[in-house]
Amino acid sequence: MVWLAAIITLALFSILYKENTAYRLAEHIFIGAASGYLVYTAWSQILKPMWWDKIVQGESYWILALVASSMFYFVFNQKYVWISRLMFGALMGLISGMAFKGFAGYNMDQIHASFKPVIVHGHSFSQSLGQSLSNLLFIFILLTVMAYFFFSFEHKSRVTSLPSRTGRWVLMFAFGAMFGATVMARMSLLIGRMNFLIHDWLPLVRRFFHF
Amino acid sequence: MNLFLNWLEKLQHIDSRILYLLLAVVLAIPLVFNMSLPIPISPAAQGAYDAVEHIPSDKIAIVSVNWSSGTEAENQPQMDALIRHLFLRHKKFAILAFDPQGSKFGEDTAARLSKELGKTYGKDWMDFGFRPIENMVLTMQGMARDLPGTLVSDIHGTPLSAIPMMRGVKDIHDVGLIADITSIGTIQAWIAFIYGPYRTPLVYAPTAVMAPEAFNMLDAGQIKGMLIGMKGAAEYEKLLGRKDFATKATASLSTSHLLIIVMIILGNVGYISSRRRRRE
Amino acid sequence: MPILRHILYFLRPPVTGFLLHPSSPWYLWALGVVADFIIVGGIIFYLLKLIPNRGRKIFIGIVTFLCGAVYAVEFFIPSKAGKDANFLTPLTQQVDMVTTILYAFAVGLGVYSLISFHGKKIAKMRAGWPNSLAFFIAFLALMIAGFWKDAAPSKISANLYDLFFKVGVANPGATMFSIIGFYIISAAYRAFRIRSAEATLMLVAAFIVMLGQVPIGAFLTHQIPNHGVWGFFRFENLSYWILRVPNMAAQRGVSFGVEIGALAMSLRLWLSLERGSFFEQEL
Repeated sequence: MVWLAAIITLALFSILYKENTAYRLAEHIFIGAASGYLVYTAWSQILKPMWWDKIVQGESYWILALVASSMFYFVFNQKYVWISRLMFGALMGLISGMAFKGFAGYNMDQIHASFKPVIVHGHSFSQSLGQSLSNLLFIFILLTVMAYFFFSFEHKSRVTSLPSRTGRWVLMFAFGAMFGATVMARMSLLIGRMNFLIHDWLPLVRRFFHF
Repeated sequence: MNLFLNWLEKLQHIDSRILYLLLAVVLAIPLVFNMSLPIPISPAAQGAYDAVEHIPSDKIAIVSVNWSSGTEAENQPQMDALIRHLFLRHKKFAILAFDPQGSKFGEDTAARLSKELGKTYGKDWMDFGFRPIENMVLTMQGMARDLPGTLVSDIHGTPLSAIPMMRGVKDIHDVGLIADITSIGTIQAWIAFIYGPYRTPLVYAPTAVMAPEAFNMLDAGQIKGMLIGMKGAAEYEKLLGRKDFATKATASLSTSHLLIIVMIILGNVGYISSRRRRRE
Repeated sequence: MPILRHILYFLRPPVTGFLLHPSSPWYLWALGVVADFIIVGGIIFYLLKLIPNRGRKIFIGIVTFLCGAVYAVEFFIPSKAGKDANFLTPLTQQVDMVTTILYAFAVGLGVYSLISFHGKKIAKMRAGWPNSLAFFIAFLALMIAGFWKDAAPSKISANLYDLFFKVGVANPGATMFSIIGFYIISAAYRAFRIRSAEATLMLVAAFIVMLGQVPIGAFLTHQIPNHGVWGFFRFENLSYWILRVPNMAAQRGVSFGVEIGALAMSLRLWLSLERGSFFEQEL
């Protein structure tokens, strides 16, 4: 298994040198295997226990679920494509209907947490000062960033343009943090593969070639 | 100095493959020589650890596995550490996956650790299997009110009523913690539909890319703790007193970050120098 | 909802509802399901065809609105005293079960597109057709291994399934995403240019966060005592502060804007007010 996995890993890494057949072949194997796995999982973990077994046990009205699902596939037919719109519309309606609950559940706590005290009483003066300044900075950044994203009218006067321009500046903290986090994430994934090649595969190579 | 700047300008056009080779060498050296550095514990990781420690003994935890093979290097060590912690503290848990590959990774990890630590399927842990992510919100809403009625059976098709640890588990109030190990934006749904109405404690284990946005939720108390990518997994391993893959990988992470910083600086110095020369 | 169940039981399909029983073999059940699908599907298809062209958009709009209303109204109607439910709650639980099955069947949409694309490539022997053949082999191999494992559980079938998953899915998937790491170093060297003061600020924040996230950053400033005012300047503490205060504030500002926009968009979708090529197609 390790040898096969290493061969496919190196085939995929070969794209870094240049475009080649080994990479394309490995890519297609991956897409095929992932699709096959998805079909198997959808049947074995959802359709069989939640649909097929129910029909076999006498709840045959679940056939209607198959009829409803088949409406999705009318998307491939020019003449009856509107039937697929019926199903997509129903599902979009369901998701949209939940938006109110989702908005309330997600944002209320964050709105509440945004009202931070500007004078904090901590264990020591330095801690109190530090926390108070952090809270003040938080409020300043929050308001300026919200001002930057306010597109309902043009920011012509200084009263509206200055917070908006400041918001653009302070957004750089977030973008810098996101860049730093992205670098860490991508390097982690690469380290995982290097670890596999060095600690799982290379010992087998050494054993095979007796060195 | 001029020689150095000339050399940097010429290197602006270096073949990318040389850079790739340099990165591979810089990553490989700490792995080959098993180098390591002390890891400081962040408050976010400590919060996650404490949340697992405080799961009430009469409630179960849910480990939501929402990642695929693409982010295995970050999410697998997080999942290993969290599940190991749950087993060590004798906290019953169930795996629920909204990603089909995550279902297999979750099942394999829990089965492996269960064998290592002498735990029993059905008594100490169980697996709900995979549910489509498109239906994630409806599944969450359903399980909050009627968990057995929504999730119906485990990954092997056994009805939940036949699983010992699920007896007495009716709804979200019988769940003491939800750990969301993910590479996709599932935490917003957990917060909106589970934490918001029911205040079930949440722990978040995202890939590092998603972590900056999550500080929002940490500040609002919507998540009790967070493991930031592989580094978060390393911190958690330290809290468990172990040195697994994530701990060993942090040295490579350090060298790669230093390399990126050096490359950005050298690239900009070369660029500024060549721009000045063109102006002259 | 027992009344609905009784109605559906009364109106059950002819073959699976009346002719088959639980002890019938699986292939008869499969044939029965196909037969009932054709009968019931045919009736529903005929009824849908009766809707005039002009009425189709209205019909879709009504269905979209009713589906959304189930959850929207359920959220706004107060719960019964002492319970987290009102009269619509049992309906929402049934809806979840049905939509789970619908989404599982919808997996076939993507799979059909792939099979169609690669199938045509092989049939017409276009350039790269061996790759399409490899696609089909891998697709069938993993599917058959999975079904074999379920139908005849044994060590061989379980190991074969594991082998195909690890070699065909887990390892290649991890490798594809890890390739981006190499592109990052190339981009860091060639593309990341400090052309403005804002870019400089972003870079400084990025450097501090990058160094604070890894042990080397903590090592570089480990001489600074970790208490009092000076502790703030240790890389791990400075990095955590940047993430927890300025970054968090900016992310929250962005998040509020995005959430309000998403709510407005959801309302437009629910009420079928959305415009665009998909929504304005002739039906």
